[in-house]
Parts: sequence; structure tokens; C-alpha cells
Amino acid sequence: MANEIIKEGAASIVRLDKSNSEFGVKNGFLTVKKGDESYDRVFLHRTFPFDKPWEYISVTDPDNKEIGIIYDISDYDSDTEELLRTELKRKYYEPKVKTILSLKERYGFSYWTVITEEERKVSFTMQDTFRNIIRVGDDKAILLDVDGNRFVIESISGLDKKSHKKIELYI
Amino acid sequence: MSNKELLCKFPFNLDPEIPDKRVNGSVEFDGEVLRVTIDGEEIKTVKRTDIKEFLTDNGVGCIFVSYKDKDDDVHLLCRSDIKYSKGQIKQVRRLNHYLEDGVMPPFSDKGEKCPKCGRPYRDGSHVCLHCQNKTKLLVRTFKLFSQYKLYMFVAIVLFFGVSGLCLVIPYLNRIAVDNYIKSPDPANADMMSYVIIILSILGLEIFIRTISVIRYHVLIAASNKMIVKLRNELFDKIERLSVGNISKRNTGDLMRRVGWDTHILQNFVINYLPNILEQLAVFIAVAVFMFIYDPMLFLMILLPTPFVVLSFRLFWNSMRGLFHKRWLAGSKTNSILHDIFSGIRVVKSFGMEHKESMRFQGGTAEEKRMQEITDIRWSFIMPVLRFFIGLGEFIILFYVGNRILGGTMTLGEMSQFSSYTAMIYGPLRMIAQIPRRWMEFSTSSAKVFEIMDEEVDVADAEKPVDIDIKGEIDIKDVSFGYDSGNEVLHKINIHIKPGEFIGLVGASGVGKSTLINLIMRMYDVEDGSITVDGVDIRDISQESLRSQIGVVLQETFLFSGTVYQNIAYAKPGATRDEVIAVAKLAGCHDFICRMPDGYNTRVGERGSTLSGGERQRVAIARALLHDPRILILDEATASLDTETEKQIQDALAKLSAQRTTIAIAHRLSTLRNATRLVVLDKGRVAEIGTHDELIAKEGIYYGLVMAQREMSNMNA
Repeated sequence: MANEIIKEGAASIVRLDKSNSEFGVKNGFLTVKKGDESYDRVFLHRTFPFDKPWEYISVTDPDNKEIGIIYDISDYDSDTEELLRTELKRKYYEPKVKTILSLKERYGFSYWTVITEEERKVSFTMQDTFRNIIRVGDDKAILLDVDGNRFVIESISGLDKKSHKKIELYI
Repeated sequence: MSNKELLCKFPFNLDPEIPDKRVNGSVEFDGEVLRVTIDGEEIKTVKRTDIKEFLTDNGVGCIFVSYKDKDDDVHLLCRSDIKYSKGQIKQVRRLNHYLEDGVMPPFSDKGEKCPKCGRPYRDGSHVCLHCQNKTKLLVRTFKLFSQYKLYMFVAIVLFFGVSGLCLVIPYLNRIAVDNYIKSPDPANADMMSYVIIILSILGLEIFIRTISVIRYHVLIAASNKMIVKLRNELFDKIERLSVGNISKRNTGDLMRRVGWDTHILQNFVINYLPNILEQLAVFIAVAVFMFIYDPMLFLMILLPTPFVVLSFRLFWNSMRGLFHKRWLAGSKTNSILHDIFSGIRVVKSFGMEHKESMRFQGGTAEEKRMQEITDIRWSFIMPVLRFFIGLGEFIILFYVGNRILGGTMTLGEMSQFSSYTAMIYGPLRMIAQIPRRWMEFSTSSAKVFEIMDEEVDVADAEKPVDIDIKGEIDIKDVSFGYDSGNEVLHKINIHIKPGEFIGLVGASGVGKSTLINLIMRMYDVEDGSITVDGVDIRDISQESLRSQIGVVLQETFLFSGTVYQNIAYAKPGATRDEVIAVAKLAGCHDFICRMPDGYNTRVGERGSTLSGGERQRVAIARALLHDPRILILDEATASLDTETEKQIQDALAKLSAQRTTIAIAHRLSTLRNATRLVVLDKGRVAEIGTHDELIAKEGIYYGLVMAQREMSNMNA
């Protein structure tokens, strides 16, 4: 039954893979050629950004019309896969937190200073801290700061003891 | 590099191509050439003549700025994290204005962050809670209550009076014990004097209790007056803020400020502060007395003090996290309950009762676990604390006992010292709580003053005028974007004659409701102007403007009260005849009469449930009673069936003959009576004209009409 719905009209999914699409770059933007149609500026959107970052990637044109969905970027040859991976990483800028140096809460804001994986010291502010720490599975967390930046803790249990103690209250 | 003055410059911090690479980049534009530099090195130059438009694209956690060339090819310029996004969006808007008009608008950076500490402001606020001087807050709080200073003065004097008298009782006790009870010569003791001393103690006790009662009454009287004043002032201020400002704040947060934070302020000023002063006075008086009398004894009393204060602090720090977690567990369970009850129809219709029950049980189990942990911890900590406090008394007992046995101290003195020791430990326990109370006070007062200090962003002009509106509206070159987001409306020009019925048409999100909000002056335009009868709406008093505009929105809000009160809300003092007449006009009279309580039927939060269409009609009646010169209908009849809609449309048509009407509707049949239609597309006026003119044009409106016809044919 589900299949019948999926195949019909607006609900039909156009699957993109190496057999029907070709990606490239022009003027700093991703391009795609699908059959006879070619698009000069396309955007990638993760449909399941938290648990499937490299799968189910929606490809749209600048007017937000979907061209198709890539089920898995590894379906493409290694060069295209790398191109798509870079494009996704470029669009989803989410520094990874390695260490939490300090975390203080005042007046409903929490102030964080962390070291990221690139050994960069970053300070950011979160409002409504509990709601803006998004748990993904048991061990991963995404922190959303007041500006809209995202920081990822890939493994909460993998944090050093001091960092863990600081974030413990919020998880 | 040219020496021309820069018209626009903004920084960026991510490499445009390499995902995680941070850079120190900037985009500069001098009116002729646009330059992009990374770490001081020029990587791109583009001539102004090659640029058609600037664009921004949002990534996740980052933003891209690009430009469109004359051939409509888009070229990437730079990428930044979100830190710079708001500024960049503003700059891109400026650049686009320049490309269109050749004039660079000034860069207004009202600022989202405190210039002093760099911390972000709370949503809707431009006051930094951190940089507010906390002592000044206390002074301001007192100033706020200055008209009650007599009450405060009386209360404080009485506080000190009670404290002073409390010190006398142990002294009298000592005399009673040493001179009479344990007198070396009891047979010759003056019984009369003994009775006088005992009666003095009794009298003092009664006097102290009486003063305490008076003091309490003075405080209650002052306290109630203060809180009413403070809450009213705060409420008035919130009401004066713009819709834009208020809507950025959470309703719960605003309610908490008016309810809870004012209560904290009141409690601190009225109860806590005098208490601290009193305890402090007692502490100093007793400490000085004891030190003079016996420095050794005084030091011994103070010996456990650091332990007591420290234990309180440590204890509090360790418990705070646990209390927080327990509160969180409770709040999670509550939100599960809220979720389930709000969506009970969905839960039942999908047969998910068991699953939801398990979810709730999971929540309560976690709450129970946290409760147990806190209770167990608490049960260990409290006895330890009491032990430290008891330890001091034990040391004193030992020392004093030795002195009594050695004959250097009398029993009466011991009794006096024991009382003073208890008096000293009282304030000590309190001292441990001072930081928390101070924190509570400074947080609440900062929040209260944050609202009090907030600038009213849509304020009346210095000398606002009141006008009798005839209904001519002129929208000239109006551009607007919410906050620093992308522009929602761009260079809108519409001239509406008095009595005209204008239909606003366009897809969702093109800016129709925004335009209406601007006409009502819920927000101020950024560029251009809106005039009513030739007067800029910023010069008209808001009361005069809005009292002559009637609005019916898609989401109707009915206050708690009767149907009658809800309709009459728009015109205080409206007669019953007037209310019934507009109810008939709006097509709600019949269903109101059918209800057992008629016009007295209670609606709103706890009232009877009216259907969406019925609520809508009540709201239309309310707007009609208002008898506005300008009537605004924002999808007002969207939730009505076509038949009822037609009835209301006809009623409105009769009314709109004498007034200017602006209506938004997706269902185009709603606008059949419109004299002209304005089609908005991507924030711009795409088409304007009568129905026939636009059909003949075969543009966007034609497409919409055809699509709706097709749809109704399919449904037929």
C-alpha cells in the first residue's frame, strides 16, 4: 500500500544516482545534469541530518523545487562522492566540541567556552539551554547557540571527566 | 587598491570553498568595484557594472553571499558562520538598494549584543542584564517604592526596637539567676525586686510581641501597595511595547515577570532586607558585647562559624544540581501529560493509549528516582550540619562549665551567654543564604527593570495628531524586513482611494499580512512611507489611527466572557440594539439565539465551544460594531463555508461602500466585490488592476484563478 502512495503524483520520489545524474561545480555552486535537464545552482539538504548525514539527500533548485533525492552519496564514484561530501560539510557548518573549558549559567543564558576538534577556542551563548541541547541517540548531542550556530558533541561519554561533569546537569 | 571612500564593508570568517577552514576575510565596495579579500590577500574583484543583484543563501550554521551577473549567472563571494549573518543580510540589502537607486542607505546597527560585554541581548530587549549595576538596582527598587518610605522607616525602627529589646531579656535573666535564684544569701534577697524583674521580663515579652504584630501589619500594608503599583507599572509598559517586541518574548516569561519577579522584589525589600539588617544589628551588638566581656569565649563561639558557613555553601552547591534535575524530571513528566491530554483525540484514534501510558510511566519512574536520590542526600547532610552547629555550643558548655567550676563565672552569666550564643548562630545561618537571596533579587529586579527600560520602538511622535479618517491610503516606496532578516516587502507603491475595496492576492509568505501590519502601524516601515488622508501614520496618534481601523484576522481571539461582551468589546457603551444589529449583519445572530444562554453564553477559555466559523462571525460582528473607516480582513472568511461566506460578503459589501476595505484571501471568490486587486509576488507588487484587467493580462492572477477553477471542477 505504501508503495502505491509513493509512486503516485506529487508523492513520487525521484531517486538520483550515478546512472541518471552528474554533479559538477560552477562559480562556487554545485551543478547537476539529469538527463536533458541541467541546473546551474543546486542545493543539498539533509532530510535526516542527525542520524543519516550522508543519506537521503534532497537536491533542490534555487526556487526550492526538488530535483531528486540521493539515497546514499556513496552510490556515486569516489570523485563525485567527495564533491557531495564537501558540499554538505560546507553547507552544514557544525564545529565538533572536544573539550568544555567552562560553562556558566546566568539569567537564563548559559555561557560556554569550548575547544573544537581543530583546536580552536570558541565561546558561545545558549538560551533555554535544556531545550537547545538536542540529543541524538544515546551519546551524541547538538548544541544550538543564540545566533543559530551548531556545535556537535559526537560522544558525550567520550568527553574528558571535567568536561563531562560540566555538561552532566543538562543531559 | 583605489583610494575611493568605501560605501560598504563587512567581514566574513569561513573559507567559501573549504568546509572547515576559518579565515579572516572582508568584502568591500566603493561604489565602482567590489573586492573580496582573505587574510589580506585580494581574491576577487568585480565591477559594479557587472553586478545585477546581491543574494544570500542560508546554510546550516553558516550563510553564503553571492551576486548575480548581467547574464543571471550567480557567483559565490563569501561564507560566514551565523555570527555575521544578521549584519551581512543588512549589508546585502543596502548593496541592493545602491544597485537600484545609486544611493547607499545608512547602516543602522541597533545591535543584538551588549557593546560593553559582547553578550547577546534577550529576544526583544536592548538592555544587558549583566552590565546593569546591581547596587543601582537596589537603589532603583527603593526609589520605585519611595512613596512608601514612611512605612519602611517605621518598619525598620520597629525592627531595631525589637532587636534591642531582645538583648535586654538575657541580661534580666542573668540578674534574676545571680541575684535571687542562686543568691549567696537567699534569705535576705529582696523578693519585691525579684518579682519586678520577673514581671519586667514578662512585660518585655508582651511588648516585643505587640511591636512585632504592629511591625508585621505595617509591612503587609506597605507590601500590598507596592506590589500593586509595581505590577501596574510593568503591565502598562508591556502594553506600550510594539507587537514586534512583545511577540519576540515568550508569554510565560512576560507573565512570570509581572507575577513572580515583582513578588521576589517585594519580598526582598519588605521582608528579607529589614530582616538582614535586624540580624546584622543583633550580630554586631552581641559580638561587641561578648568580645568586651570575654574575648576567649567570643573566639570559641566563632570557632565553628567557618564550618557552618562553608558547610551551608558546599551543601547548597551539591544539592542545587540535584534539585535542578528533580525539577527537570518533574517538568518532563508534566510536558508528557500536557502532550497526551492535548492530543488525546489523536492518541485514541490511533489506538496508542498503551504506548502513551508507558511513556508517562517512564517519566514518573525517573521523577521518583530523582526524588529518592535528593531525599537520601538531604537526610545525610542535615544531621552533619546540625552537628557542626551543636559543636560550637558543646565547646562553649565545656569552657563555661570550667569557668563556673573555677568560680570565675556565675550561673546567670552562663544563661546570658547561652542566649547570646543562640542569637549569634541565628544570623550565621542566614549569612549562608545571603548570596542566594541577593542573586534571586538581582535576577528578578534586572528582569523587571529590563522591561521598564525598554525603548518603545513604535512610539507616538512628539506631537501626534488626531484625525478623522476618510480612508485614503497612500503606500509609497515601502520596504520592510522583520528584524535584520531578509526583506519581506520591497518598494511597494499602492494608492488606495477612500471607499475602495482592495483585494490582496499572492502565495503564502509574499508579505500580504506584513503589509497590513504596516498599515495598522504594528511595525514602522524601514523605507518609504504610508500616509492616511495625506498624513504620515507615524505622525498620527496610535490611538486615533487604530480606533478607526477594524480588523478581522484568520485566527480569531475571543476573551473569556459572554458573546455579548465579546462583540461589545470594540465599542464600550454599545446598546443591545447595536450589538444585535451587527450580529445580524455578521450572520451570527441566529446561532446565538439558538444557544440556551443566547447572548449571555460564555465563550473564551472556559466557555462553550463555538465552531471556527461561529467564532469568526462573532469577530466580524465585533469589527463591524467598531464602525471603522478602514476595514481590514485577513483571511477573515477562510474558515466559513461558501454559502455563509457569500452572506457575509454581501453584508460587508454594503458596509464597504462607505469605507476603505483591504482584504486578503486565498479563495479568490472572496474578493469578487473588490474594486481593485493587488497581486504580490516575492515582496513586490507584481500586478494591480480590476479582476477583468488582470484576467486579460494573463499573468500571475490569471494563473491563480485558473488553478482554483481547475480545483473546483475536480471537486465538483
